[in-house]
Amino acid sequence: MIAGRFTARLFLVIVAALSLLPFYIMAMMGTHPTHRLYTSIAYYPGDALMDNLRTVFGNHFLRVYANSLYISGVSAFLCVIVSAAAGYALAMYRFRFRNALFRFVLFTMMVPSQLGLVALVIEYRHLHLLNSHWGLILIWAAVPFGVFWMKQYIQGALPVELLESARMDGCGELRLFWQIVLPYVMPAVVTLSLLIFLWSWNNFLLPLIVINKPELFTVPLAISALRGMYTTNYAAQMLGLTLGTLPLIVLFIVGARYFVSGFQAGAVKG
Amino acid sequence: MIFYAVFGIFPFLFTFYVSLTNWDVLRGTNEFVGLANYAALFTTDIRFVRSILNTLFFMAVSIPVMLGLGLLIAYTLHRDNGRLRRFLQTATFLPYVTIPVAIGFMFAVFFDKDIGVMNSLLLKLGWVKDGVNWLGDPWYARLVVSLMIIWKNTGYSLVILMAGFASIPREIYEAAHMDGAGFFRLFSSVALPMLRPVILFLTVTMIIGGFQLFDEAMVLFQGFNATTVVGGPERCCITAVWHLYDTAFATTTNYGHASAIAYGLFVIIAVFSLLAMKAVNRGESA
Repeated sequence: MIAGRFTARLFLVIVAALSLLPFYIMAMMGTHPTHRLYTSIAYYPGDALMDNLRTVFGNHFLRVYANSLYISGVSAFLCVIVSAAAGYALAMYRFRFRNALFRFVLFTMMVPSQLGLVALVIEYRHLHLLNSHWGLILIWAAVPFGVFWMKQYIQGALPVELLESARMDGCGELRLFWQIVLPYVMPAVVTLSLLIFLWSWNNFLLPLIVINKPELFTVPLAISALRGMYTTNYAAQMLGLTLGTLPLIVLFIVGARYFVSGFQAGAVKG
Repeated sequence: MIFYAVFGIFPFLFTFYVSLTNWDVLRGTNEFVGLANYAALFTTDIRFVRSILNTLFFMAVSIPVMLGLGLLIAYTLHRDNGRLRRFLQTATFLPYVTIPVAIGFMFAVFFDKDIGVMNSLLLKLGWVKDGVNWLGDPWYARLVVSLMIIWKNTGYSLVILMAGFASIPREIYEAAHMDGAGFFRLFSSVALPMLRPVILFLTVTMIIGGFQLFDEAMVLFQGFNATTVVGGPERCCITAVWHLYDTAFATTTNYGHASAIAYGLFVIIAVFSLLAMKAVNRGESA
């Protein structure tokens, strides 16, 4: 039994190590001068961190950060508001075609997002959204998963009596939504915004097609362009990579509880 | 609802229309051609079938490993409620939330022929004489892609399976334990059958996700020394979405054909998801 326990622990330690080691090596490689990377594995921190930092920040990396932060932030906000409103309507109001509408949302959840890609780009061309951050933000206004998620949560957590008594006191429908419904479903709102922030931050295919001006780049685009930026300076590339992944890792560790509950609730997203 | 119409429904329907035309931005054509694009998918466009076969290969290698590993970890962890469990969950889940592009980049570096960690390690151990050209050889490259998928998604599989384990009532275990069931017996006769719905859910999401592979693979082969070749060496690792991207927005600008690829992919995903559901359901009644 003790031997079994030990094997189990050992197995878990190996798994954890395999998960984390690549991150560690990536971070370490960013602190060495490039020529050393040819000769040895970077197990430990090197002394070229400042040099590499200068190279990376010389290339408007801050700008890229700001772009991604702005896009993901606005996307998450927009998505949460639209999803909460739609979810609230689907959960609490009775109207014609309500069930049909909900079934339609469920159906679109299963459609892969790449399906509409070509048409979306044509649409953007006509709306003059190519090379614009709005093109990357607006797609998050219609996330079927968000609507589904908010509807389920509102249905389970929001007592109808609360709404009725608020209405009795003369609370208007808009105020009702902002001041009672939204605060009441805060946990769902936090989870959804974190997820959307994550998906928007990681999004690559759409920005790759829509954005081609370097000053509008998002983090994934910048990472994929790193190679062209500092041709053979591998160390600087690794540092850029580390910096690009860092915000999300921090965000994830801080909000792990919310992320995990979101995924466990059946987040179906490619 | 307006948002929904403009960014949700319209693209799907319009893509279908485009898939029936020979719309090409550079060549300036845009005529109705009926189902010709769909016919071409299976005749002139060998790359489409190839990309599907590639993704099937990646899935065949990676899905059993991800499920198996996930089950094994979840099973060893599920009675642990302390810090170890939380730490491991977070650690294995990190790759899943990391920017896919960054993962592709990381693997490109680690498996690089000259400066890759993998080769340095193998050389040091004396297992190989020269650095292996991981990303230059079609079969090695396919292996690297599969490995990358496994590394990225095992945490996801673990987290979902943990939720599954948590839903199994404790009394069932205790009863089985009383009846003398051992560690492995408990696993195979009690846990596995109870987890069937969760495993089904995972398999289906992994199939859907697997067919949509693009970011990691593309950046992987953009890597260091390799000049960007669409699909990697001998196009061994081209995926359906990559092919779609390349057809519409990179090498050619054939919107019509690309739209047909998108719908073809959608149908294939739907069929495979249904098959997976059927397979698991049949196992249940047997």
